[in-house]
Amino acid sequence: MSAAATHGAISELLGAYSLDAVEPQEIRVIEAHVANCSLCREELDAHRQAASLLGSLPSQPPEHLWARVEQSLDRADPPPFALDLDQFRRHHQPTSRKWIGIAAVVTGCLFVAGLGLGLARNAGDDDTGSLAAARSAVSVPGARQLDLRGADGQVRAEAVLLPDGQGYVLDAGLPALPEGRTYQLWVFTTDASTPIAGGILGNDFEARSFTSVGELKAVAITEEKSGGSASPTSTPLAVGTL
Amino acid sequence: MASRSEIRDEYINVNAENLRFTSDTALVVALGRWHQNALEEIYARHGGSVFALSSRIVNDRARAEDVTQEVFLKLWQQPDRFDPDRGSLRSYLLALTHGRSVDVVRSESARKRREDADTARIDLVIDGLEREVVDLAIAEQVKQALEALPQAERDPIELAYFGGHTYREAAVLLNQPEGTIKTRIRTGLRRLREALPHVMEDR
Repeated sequence: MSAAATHGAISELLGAYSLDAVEPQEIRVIEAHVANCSLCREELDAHRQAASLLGSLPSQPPEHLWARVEQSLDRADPPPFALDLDQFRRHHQPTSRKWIGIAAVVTGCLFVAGLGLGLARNAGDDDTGSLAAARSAVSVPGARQLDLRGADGQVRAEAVLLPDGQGYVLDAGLPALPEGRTYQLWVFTTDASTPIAGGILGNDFEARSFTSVGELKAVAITEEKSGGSASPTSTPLAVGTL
Repeated sequence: MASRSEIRDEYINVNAENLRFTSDTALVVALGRWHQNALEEIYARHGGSVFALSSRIVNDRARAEDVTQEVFLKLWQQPDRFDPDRGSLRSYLLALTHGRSVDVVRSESARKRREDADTARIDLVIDGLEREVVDLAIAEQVKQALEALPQAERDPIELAYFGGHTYREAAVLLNQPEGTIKTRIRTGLRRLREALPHVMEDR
């Protein structure tokens, strides 16, 4: 099939294409056309829905298979963080398939480095000070409390957020990490589609303070190498959303 | 279809207790917030069909497990690839499954096994479809719609979808011109869809 194949010739192939039954050399031509032809795109989507009915075979997967899938997740990069479908759409570009977009983090969140370093210093603060501050923060008018849960739904940490952007994170069941590793906090605001480094928490923290600029939507904790990372390198151990 | 704001509102209420009552699309949004338990719920809903379809195509349990793992890992890492405006999550997952399974079948290492199994598979795909869909709630409707398809349309669809054959291979197997097979696949899918309008909406 030539690159200049007509709409008619390509639409004839859409049924076979929806069943993955065209020749490799035809795929590129079809995809290029479909990307710019709403009529063909609609027809293709409809064919795929019909094909999925054919694939609706009732079955229970083997019992061990979910555990295997779960193990593969632990070794994989986490998904792009998105708060809603519109953010998904923004991620829907080849260059940002991984949410660890170094350039975006560097250019979009320049202040983050300072924030992260500032909090790295805070990590040297004694827990007692932050803990006391967190406890008194709870009673500040407008303070919000947030549970950070693990994948199993269990609360692993708690956060207190004050209207002025000051926040506190408290451990609620995260195990101590070995030397050379640290917990790191990440904050998400409505303005940024990538996580903002919220501070290094140390390998066995009790309470830490952090600051959020912008409307905060979520907080997460990952395990990182000692000294922290510019962007998360592992699946979060605890996530809390507002 | 729920609006994006409705889905967002629904997401806010997602937690471990009510995952089972959350829509597929809201579960995908939860993946974007790293809720691994949302993936587990998606797997509970669709993992069986993914595994069954792959098993049917690759004809090998271990390879079907590989495909199933790849499909859910891909959803976890690239949830943004799913576009709810273009179809259901189930349809998306099964399309992923089908494409990957066909790749496996067509790979050089699988070619011989496939050739050996070809005769048996042709019999299977022509005769065995009804048997495998009977347990579905919608099975009867799908079965009737398939039976209502002219044999000339049904055969190439089954050879392509379950057999992993290209339309050109199906043309050779059915001793028909390629153009005829292309058209029959297209019109057969259209006829199937028209026969199941309410099922299409739900799936």
